[in-house]
Amino acid sequence: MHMLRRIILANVRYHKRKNILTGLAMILTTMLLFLVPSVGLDLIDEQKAAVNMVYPRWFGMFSNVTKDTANKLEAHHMTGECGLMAEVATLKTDDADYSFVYVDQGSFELYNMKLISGKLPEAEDEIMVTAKMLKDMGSEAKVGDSIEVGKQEGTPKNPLRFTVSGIYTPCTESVEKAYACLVSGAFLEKVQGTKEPKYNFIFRMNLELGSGEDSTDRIRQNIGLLADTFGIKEKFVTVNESYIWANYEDPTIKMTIVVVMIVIVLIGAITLYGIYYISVGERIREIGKLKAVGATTGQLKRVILGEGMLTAAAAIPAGLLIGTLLVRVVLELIMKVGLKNGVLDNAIRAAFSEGKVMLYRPELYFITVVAALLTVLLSLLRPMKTVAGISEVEAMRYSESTSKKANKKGYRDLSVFKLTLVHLKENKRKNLITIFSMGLTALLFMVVASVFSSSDPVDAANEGFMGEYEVLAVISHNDERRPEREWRLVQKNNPLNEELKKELLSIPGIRRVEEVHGQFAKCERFEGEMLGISGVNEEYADMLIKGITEGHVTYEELKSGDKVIAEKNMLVWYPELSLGDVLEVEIDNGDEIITKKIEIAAIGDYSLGFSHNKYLYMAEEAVDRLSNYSTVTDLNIYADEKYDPETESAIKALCKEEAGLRSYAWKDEYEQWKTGISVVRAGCYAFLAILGAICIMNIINTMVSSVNSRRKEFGIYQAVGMSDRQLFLMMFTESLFYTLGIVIIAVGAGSFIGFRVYLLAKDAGVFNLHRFIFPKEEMLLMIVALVLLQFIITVVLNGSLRKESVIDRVRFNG
Amino acid sequence: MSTIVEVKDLVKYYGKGDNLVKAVDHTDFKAERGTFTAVVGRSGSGKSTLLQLMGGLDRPDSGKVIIDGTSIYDLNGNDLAVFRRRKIGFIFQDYNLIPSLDVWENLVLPLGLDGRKANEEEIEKILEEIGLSDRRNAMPDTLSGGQKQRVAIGRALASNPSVILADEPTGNLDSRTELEVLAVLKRCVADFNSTIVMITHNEAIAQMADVVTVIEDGKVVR
Repeated sequence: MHMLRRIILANVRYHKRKNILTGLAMILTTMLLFLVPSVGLDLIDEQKAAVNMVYPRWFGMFSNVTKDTANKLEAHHMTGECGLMAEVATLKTDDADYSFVYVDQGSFELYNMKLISGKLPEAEDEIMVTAKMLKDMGSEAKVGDSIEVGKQEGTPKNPLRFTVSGIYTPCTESVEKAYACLVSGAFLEKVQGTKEPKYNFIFRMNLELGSGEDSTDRIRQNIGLLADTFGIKEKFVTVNESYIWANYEDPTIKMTIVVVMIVIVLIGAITLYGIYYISVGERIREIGKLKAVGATTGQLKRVILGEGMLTAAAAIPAGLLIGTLLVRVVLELIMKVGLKNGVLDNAIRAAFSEGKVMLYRPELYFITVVAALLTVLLSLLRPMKTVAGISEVEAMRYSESTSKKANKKGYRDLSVFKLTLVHLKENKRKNLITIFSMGLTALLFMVVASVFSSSDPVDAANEGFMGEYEVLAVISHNDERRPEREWRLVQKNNPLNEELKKELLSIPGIRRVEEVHGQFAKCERFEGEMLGISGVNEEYADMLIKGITEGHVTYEELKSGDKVIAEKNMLVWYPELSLGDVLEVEIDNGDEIITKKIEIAAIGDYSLGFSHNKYLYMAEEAVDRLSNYSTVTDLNIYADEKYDPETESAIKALCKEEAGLRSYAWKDEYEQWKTGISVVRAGCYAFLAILGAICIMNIINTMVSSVNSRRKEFGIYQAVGMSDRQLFLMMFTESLFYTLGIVIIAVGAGSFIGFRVYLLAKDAGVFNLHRFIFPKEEMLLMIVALVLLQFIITVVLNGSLRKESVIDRVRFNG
Repeated sequence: MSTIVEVKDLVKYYGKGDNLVKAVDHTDFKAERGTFTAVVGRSGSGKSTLLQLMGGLDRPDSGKVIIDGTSIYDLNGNDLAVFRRRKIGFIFQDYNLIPSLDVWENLVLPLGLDGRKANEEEIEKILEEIGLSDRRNAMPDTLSGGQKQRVAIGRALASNPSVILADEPTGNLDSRTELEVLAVLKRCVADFNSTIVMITHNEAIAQMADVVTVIEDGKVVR
């Protein structure tokens, strides 16, 4: 065998303890490097698979399109699979809603509908229905049978009679009695009469995979381009965002995973470096001997590199194996804790259990191995350089306990504590590396804890809610498919009226119903978007003014209607806007569009519950003057109890979607936050716990090597009278200094950075954060865990020392 | 003169079967207060083991060691450590100074461990006696072998122990330094009224002691 290889092998065996610790650190680092991106990507893929099961497959939809335009669109080179559909009519009965929709074969497939029997309708009286609809109707009709849709007892209306041409299953089956009945083109033409029928043209795009054409941003861009080519107005363009997100690359996901991996590599490298640094220090004499017998600098570097790589050769596969085994366990845990019973949640569960997602990616194994080797290499660079600089003679004379100083100003008297300080000062660099390595993870812990301690599901839900329930009017702007939801019509015939308020107040347990007024403004500066103006009631004037972060305005001034407060978040979306800007806005007062100039007099920071998704604030009376009708957009409902299922169902019964209303319960918001926060919290802490475990290897190594190199010194101390108890105390006090250093880094820098990260998270709307709570309990837990860890290590080391007699230790020549 | 160190029927064996080594084999020994006793023996005669057992640095298989009226192996680990720092001073062949402590700190170490403040006057006196007054802040690695051993003697004297046990204190020194260190040791016995038990393989050095005891195959023979 080649001599260098022989030396490397012998060294790996001889320095077993160090190699076990570095091996463990490498195993954990590799495991984390594999586990984090695997679980992250798997969760995203599960969700994408679920979206594909639940959502239609089209990328874009152009509404209000003639047959002729549709034909031209179909022929365009950017258009892939496509189809036509049109909403023909709706029919409401007391217990069910029927919508009659024309779909051609292309649309049928793009909507992921599945044919059970028969075919799409062709004749005017043909219809295709779902099996559920037939079952709910109590009908046993088959293909070719005749059915009556919309039949209702005691009404003079005639139901529609059709012949069943086919039976299908929709992409997602609604729990409520709302059915889509597919009708023929002939039926559409009959209903339209002399008017030229208008269709929704739905399509996928021809993409060149890997050319950059398949990124989510490019798809959006190309849809816009196609619409421009055919002169289709923006309001008629719909992008199937969920589907596109689910199926095409989002660069931010990859970026996040890369950042997390870099953090792991850095912490792993620092830990391993700490271990190797101490190891080289311990082995200077040994290295000197090799040099004295003729080893070149290059050979010595190869010895150090070879030892590291040999350990890595065993540790990296082990880490990958553990990581592979853990992927499924972690995913199952997340599914169990994080998923509820929604349609998408069930689909995610199904995608996971049916194995629709490849949990293990070959490329990730490759990336992990490269990243782990990079970690080891990074950690070895400095020790290799140190080895190269060792001189033969100096190395042979070197003793680890050699003091570098000739004289020092020592203590006049000694104590166990002072002896501890002397040793810590002597090994400053070694100790600082250990403290820094562990301190980094502790710092990360404090940063994460700062965000989580400030995140409370109750607070988060309160931030998004005023009261216990909320009812809002469903409002849309320029949606051709829902003309009844246009703001102009809602103002005139507002479902949030006195009658509804009275009915709500009559529900037992409801004590107060509060109106929220608002208007909508369109402005060039908002890139054509319609933004809400909240009309704040005088009762909340103080809250409004207190929320101002920049500029100055009084509630009285806001009554004029010429000044507004802009929500701080608005500036994130429209960064070119600033304090003092005068906006020329268009407002629909119910009868006509009026133009008005409003000045951004101040910028404020308000909770979601307060803003109701609106970005501008005026006094309520000013907003009321901007409409000839009702400006109520929401009702905040205050109840005696935070949640009562009976109250909720009574509200839901009153506020149906069909009536243009939607209701929300504080409890739902709370549950959502509770699950979300706990899943993310558990994930982050588990990640940090493993990072912590990696760093613990460094602490163990530092303490073990410190005890090993000082075994003789401890023997001398005991020979001159140090008791076992004093020895334990000295070792433990030393270890407590590591804890102190780690805590100083974590609490000092961690609190500062943690607060900054909290502010960033708050601005980004993460967990609806609104008040900073210093993570006292988490900090105490971290300190207790560190002290306990040091105590355990000290007990174990002290126990191993006590196995030897004092004289054995005095004689020791390590 | 009263007996300060008494060893009764002391036994310490190492190994088993064919590898059994009878390092100390049913040995008795006595040292009187204020004397300088040398224990002479060849290499492997058990003299070092006997000294270590006298100092409570190892545990015997059987037998007793009584120092200043206390049977030291009747004490538990902690009490033995306390007894050692108060009643016994050690001088080792390879000095065994703490490398991270300077000369002064090495001297006051046993006092510090005992929770006592150093009597600076006495420490100064010891420093003067061992001839290192001007090197009080020097680190051990900057001292010569003779100087290191003198620091070790100073450390042994600092706690004013009942007995100083010296294990081949001149074993690592050249002949000139050897004499110099022995002179310091003898002077200290006289000046500080100490009791010294010194082991050596060197008959000539042993002759400088007041009493010479010979050990062979783990037994004191005369």
